[in-house]
Amino acid sequence: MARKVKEQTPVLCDGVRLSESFYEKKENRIFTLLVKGFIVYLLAMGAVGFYLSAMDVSYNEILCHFVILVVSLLCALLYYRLLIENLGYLALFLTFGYLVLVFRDYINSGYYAMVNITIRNASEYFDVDVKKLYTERIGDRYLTITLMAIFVGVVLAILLNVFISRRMQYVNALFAVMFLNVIPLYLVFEPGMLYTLMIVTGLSASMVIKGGRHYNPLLQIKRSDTAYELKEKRKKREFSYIYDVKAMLQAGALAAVFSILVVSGVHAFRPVESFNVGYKTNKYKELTMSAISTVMLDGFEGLMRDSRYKGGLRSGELGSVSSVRLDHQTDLIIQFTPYDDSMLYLRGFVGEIYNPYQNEWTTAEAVRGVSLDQTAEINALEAAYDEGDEFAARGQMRIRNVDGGPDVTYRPYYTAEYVKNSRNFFYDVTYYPRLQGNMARINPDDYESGAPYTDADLYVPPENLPVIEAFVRENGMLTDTSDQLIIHVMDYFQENIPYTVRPGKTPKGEDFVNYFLTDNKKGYCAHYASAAVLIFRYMGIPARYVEGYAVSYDDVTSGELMDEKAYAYSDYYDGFSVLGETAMVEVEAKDDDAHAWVEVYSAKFGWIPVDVTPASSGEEDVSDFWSDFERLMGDGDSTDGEITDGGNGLRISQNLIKTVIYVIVGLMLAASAFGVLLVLIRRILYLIRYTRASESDKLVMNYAARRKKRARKDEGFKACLNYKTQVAYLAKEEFPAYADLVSLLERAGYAAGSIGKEEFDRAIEALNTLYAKER
Amino acid sequence: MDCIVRIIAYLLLLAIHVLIYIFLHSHFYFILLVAMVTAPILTAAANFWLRRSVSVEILAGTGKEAYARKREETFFYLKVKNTSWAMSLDAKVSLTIANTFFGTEGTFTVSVPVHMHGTYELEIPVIPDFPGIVTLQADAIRVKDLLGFFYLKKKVASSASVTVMPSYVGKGTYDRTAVESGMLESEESSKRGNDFSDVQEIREYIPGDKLMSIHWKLSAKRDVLMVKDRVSMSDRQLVIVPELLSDHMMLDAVVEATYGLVRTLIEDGTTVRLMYWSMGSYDYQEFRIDYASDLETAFARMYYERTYQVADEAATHMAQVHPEIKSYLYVTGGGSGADVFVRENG
Repeated sequence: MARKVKEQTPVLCDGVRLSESFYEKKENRIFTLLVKGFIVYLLAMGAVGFYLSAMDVSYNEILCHFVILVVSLLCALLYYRLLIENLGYLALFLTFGYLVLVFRDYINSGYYAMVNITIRNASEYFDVDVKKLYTERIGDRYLTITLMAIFVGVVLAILLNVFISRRMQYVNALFAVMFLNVIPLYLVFEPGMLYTLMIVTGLSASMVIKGGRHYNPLLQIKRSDTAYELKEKRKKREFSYIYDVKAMLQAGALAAVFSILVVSGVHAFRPVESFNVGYKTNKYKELTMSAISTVMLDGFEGLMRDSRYKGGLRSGELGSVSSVRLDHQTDLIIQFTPYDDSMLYLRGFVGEIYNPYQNEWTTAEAVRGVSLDQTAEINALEAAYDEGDEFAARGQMRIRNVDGGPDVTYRPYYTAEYVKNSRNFFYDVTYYPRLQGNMARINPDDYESGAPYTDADLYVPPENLPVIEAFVRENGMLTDTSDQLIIHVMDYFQENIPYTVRPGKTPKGEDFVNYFLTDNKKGYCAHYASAAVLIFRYMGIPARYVEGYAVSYDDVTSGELMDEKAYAYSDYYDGFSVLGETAMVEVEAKDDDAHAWVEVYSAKFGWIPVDVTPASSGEEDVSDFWSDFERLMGDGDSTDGEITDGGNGLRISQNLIKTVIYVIVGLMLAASAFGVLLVLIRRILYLIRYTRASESDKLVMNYAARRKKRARKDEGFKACLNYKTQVAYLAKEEFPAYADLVSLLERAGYAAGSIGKEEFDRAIEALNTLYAKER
Repeated sequence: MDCIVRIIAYLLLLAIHVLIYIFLHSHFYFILLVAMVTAPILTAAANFWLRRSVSVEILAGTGKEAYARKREETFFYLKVKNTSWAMSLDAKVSLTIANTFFGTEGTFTVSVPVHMHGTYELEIPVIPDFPGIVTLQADAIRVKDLLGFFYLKKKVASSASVTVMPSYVGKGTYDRTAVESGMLESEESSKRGNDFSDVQEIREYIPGDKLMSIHWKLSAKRDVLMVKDRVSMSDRQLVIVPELLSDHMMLDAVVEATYGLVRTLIEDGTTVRLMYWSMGSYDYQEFRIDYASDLETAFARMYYERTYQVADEAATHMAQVHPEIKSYLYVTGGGSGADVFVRENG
């Protein structure tokens, strides 16, 4: 049953009233609902078609259009009456649920088909291998994708109907429509013109209808057919139409014509085919590409659980991730006595053979079944210690492997023995550090393996030879001695190849080292170490690739001092210390400390660690918003490689971004300032009006202000409909001035009479008393 | 205020789209940007076009004037015509409604859509509570652009009026006690059939002459219709004088009482001479009333008069301007409405 909306019949002027029949004018709401339903259809089908056409997927478009149109119109019609809405939604959900249940296998397969199509397109865009695809139980993609599209379209239609039919919330609708459709746009797939047109038309129509300000959600909820409503604001009276089908249709038609002109015009002057010709992707998109590629190809799991890199570097696998993401959790807990301020290296993985294109290092154990030992170095250092060499020392270290990988043992240079405590997952290590000045020479015959190094330690795969050779030749390293070469390579890396934790994945079919040295020219420690090993080997220096942890002196100093009584210095360290007598400290090695470096063989000292990774600039690694913003807003003469190398195009683009950000920040500040100003102006205008007002108007204004303030925090008061009940509500039981106050209010504001100064004062006093009483 | 909020929101949305476009460099977002940049320009231009093409007309009934009765529904019509292909979903027409006789006035706004190349008509039913001339005038129209950013104002001047007669409850229900108790014998004799007026001349019938003026005997003799041209014997006619007081309640009561009294009398066959004091011409206006149509004409004229505050303004001037009238029925404001009594002139 239609509920009649009772409206008051206002007095237009003294002696002339508006007749009640004014509100009896009706407009056929069904047509207005259908118009809204059509907008919902444009947006819902537009969104579905957008994705599918962008991905160039074939499906039964006509069936999709038909079903989504019918559902959109039906959903919109549900708002005709409250009862229809309640029952209709129930019926809709039941039917929809039943159909989903029946066709779940098809929908599921269609969904996975779309995911697989998206993954394939993404892998092409990112130029990487597809890691995994999902199984589609039903192979008929034409059918499954059609049903999946209908399913998504119907869900969207139900959602958009709430936004559009109720409040014409086009911003929410835009978000719902574009939420997933950003994916094809990100992958540079553009939608078909029809679906672009549908979305632009739907948005334009909803913006225009919303802009008409005749979209009263309260009246929508009332479900009244009344064509007009009365709006009264600050003594201004406005009779405003609520529905006008003809106007809605005309506005929709104009929006459609406008959209057709814009879409066809843009397609004519800037065809989609040539739109991105010559365009290089921007810096900000590049920053997101590694994460997006991981999400698209490996799912969100890829971001959260990258087992290869969780717990540091330890597998020798290279180039399979586009960026290093750190969990900043503790991997190792090290208890030892610091003896100098240099880096403490803890070896975990030692790679001997580099496998080009497979992009990995394999250990000697894996290749030859031989373990690489440091017996000669240990013997030399131990002997020096035993002989009381001035610079010799022996230390004890306890390492607890928290999250550094269960199958890896990390040891400092040069570990003589370690005792593992399996219960507590820690091991005690005895080691002989080679401190500055310790010149103890090794005896090559001491190596248990029989030789200090093998051909494998000098092997450069043929696939890498041309690149390494060119690198050495072009950089003038051919004539370097061993020491010079090491420094030369380190300097070259420092100056020419920037460090980054986001180098991007090594493209499929590319070799890790070759790609690093010739194309990408940026990377993190594994890149530098791998390349350096091959360079050193090419130049005849036996070299190995090592992964583990490098704990800096800063980390050590920020460690926790241990109880001196329980952990006496002398029990854990003996011999020369650059730092003098220190104390036992407990240091946490985290993901941040995971590192890769090079070991080179020296005839004097045996295998020694060489770190060729350049120091990070620091800026690049900080990727939070404010740092980016600060950088962006900072000096325009930034020496960031990407900016200087990018040429004018990138500069313009960045300046544009800069301008836009300034504009947005400016707009936000202006909006805030405007809001404050508006409040002030309103207050000032109120005071001016109040000052100029007659006593009657003053009392009305005063009462209105009190009422408004009170209603905000008191629901009971808010429920009182007129001043009589409001005053009675506040007065509770005893309030002698009740009758007088009500009479004055009535005379002042609600009747033809007026009040004088004395009466005004009396009323204000009564109001003050009333509110004071309430407090 | 709403417009400013909309503009700010639109600019923010535009800025967000610019950022997305820079980020994605998508053809689709390029289209959205083009649409968002051109839409305000086009809608603004269309709104200027619309302002030039829109006009407002106010009608009462089918024309500019109409008659109605107090407390009965009567209709004004607002027509918004548009000769262009632009449109607006929100055009605010500022209207002033007034009762000129009572000196009351009120303003309000009507928000209507402006259709493309067409006319939007709105029926405004009103109920007048006072007699007089109720005028509805359109002062201006403000048309909003389709995106809701700004209004353009155009002055218009169209009005229509409704002449509102007092309500008449019917002959049988009118309380005539006070009148009849004070009615003079001479006035009683002015009822038709007891005509004491003097015949000035007898002439041939001219179309428009009243039937009661025809001299039937003479007409029969001469075989031509002859009429008696009469001169009113004012001191023998029923004179009614209302006081047009400015107080709304009193004026309403006086006008209603006068109307009812005259109407009752003429329905009884009594010719009435209605006289009221005109502040505009500073003289008495008088009307001989034989029929209801005479009464309505007289009232319609009376509604253009200015009311006054002095309680016995008309009575005072009656003694000065028409000393020959010995007495008359005097209608004035009383404690609870109108008082009607016979007043001796002078």
